[in-house]
Amino acid sequence: MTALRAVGRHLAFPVAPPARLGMIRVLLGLFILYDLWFSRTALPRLVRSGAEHWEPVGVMEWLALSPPSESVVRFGVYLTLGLFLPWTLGLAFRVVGPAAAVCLFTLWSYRLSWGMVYHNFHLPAFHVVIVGLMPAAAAFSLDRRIGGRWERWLGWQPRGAEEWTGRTLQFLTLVTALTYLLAGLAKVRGEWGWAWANGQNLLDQIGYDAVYKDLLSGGAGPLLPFLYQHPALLMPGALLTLVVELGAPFTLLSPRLGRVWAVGIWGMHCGIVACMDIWFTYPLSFVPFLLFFPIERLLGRWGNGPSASAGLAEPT
Amino acid sequence: MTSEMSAAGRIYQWAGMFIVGVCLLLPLDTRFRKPHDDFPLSWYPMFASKRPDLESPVYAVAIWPDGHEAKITTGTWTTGGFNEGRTQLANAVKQGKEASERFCQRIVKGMRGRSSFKGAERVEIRIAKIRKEDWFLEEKVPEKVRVLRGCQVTE
Repeated sequence: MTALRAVGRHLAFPVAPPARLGMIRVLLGLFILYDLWFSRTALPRLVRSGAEHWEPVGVMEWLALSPPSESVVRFGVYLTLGLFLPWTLGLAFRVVGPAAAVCLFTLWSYRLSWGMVYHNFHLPAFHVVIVGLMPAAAAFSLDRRIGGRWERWLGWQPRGAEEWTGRTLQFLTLVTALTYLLAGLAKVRGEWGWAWANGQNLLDQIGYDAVYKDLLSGGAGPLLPFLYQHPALLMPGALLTLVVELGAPFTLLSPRLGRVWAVGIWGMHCGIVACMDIWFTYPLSFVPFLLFFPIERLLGRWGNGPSASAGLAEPT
Repeated sequence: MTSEMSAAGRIYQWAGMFIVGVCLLLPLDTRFRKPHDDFPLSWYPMFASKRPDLESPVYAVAIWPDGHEAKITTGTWTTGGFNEGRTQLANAVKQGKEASERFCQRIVKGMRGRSSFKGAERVEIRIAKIRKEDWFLEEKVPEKVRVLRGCQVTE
């Protein structure tokens, strides 16, 4: 009964130290800065693909935009980079948070409008929008260090910082869980049904990708012949994939379940790297799963917000 | 003791969670919208579709006067990554003769200045029939190859 009550309380009144959300904001910001910095020259050059390959999605589709010029994209890249710097530092976050989220969302809409929607953009895009629209700079922020001047000026001092943080982390968990749940449901609702768990379709998908890599890229990974010799080895991988994807919503029940799940899903992404050389950098960075861990304790004394390192009851 | 959030704050967060949650779950109902790929909501059933026994990849090769060939990687024509390059090539072929000819010229343009393609005289866009098991367990030789389009490499 006590455990059930704890779960119920965690679902209805989630609380967490603002320092955790502050650290997630910082790490998410660093991830975006890293990603944008290394794609800053490649992104504008996508325009050279030619208008015939322009298949607008997201903001580009909603606003029926035609392909922008290289210089406009370059400006957008540096503007977004420029906004994620104060985002990471936690400066003027009331303005910077939403502005950075809008810029990144627009930039990534452009990025994915050239005939291929890469699915590794969806989860970080949602996370950036959620964190950007919540008071995520109550700790680990320059706003705090300089005495809350920006916060006061912009009127962003919400009451109940712990509840704001708890609910924001719950929101992030919900989105993370649903994206993986959908991937799992697509598999069992597809032509294979539950037989997807036998690993045959997984082998087919890996093989299909590898054939193309042999013909159009650096080549298939070294594991391929081994996997075709021992196809049964993929069955545990397929089974584990279904378990972690379909089990994702259970992470909403308690951070402890979330921690177990995070390790499982991270392992799945490592398996994808090993078998297919496909790098889902955001999940592989582990940043989206840190919300299940009391990471604020690592740098507790540096957290400068309310209850930055307070020992709030951690639901189990 | 923690301070309490305002009612407006709670409504803001609950409304956000509800709207985003419903939007994310929309793909489960395929009555109104057929599965398709999009951003930020994707209807694409990743790793879920059945693959045929024989794959039909479209690819490009550079050919030298002595008949020697080399594969052309997607980085030659796009900075958008392997999958984007593959999709663009396949789409150009699907769009017909003119589009694939234009694409062939784009490949040639991308090859210019690359030492690995020095002396190449022709580019061919091909489609192959490949049985995956044979490809990975035996020789990497397609069962069938057909040339879809070709163009000369000009300086």
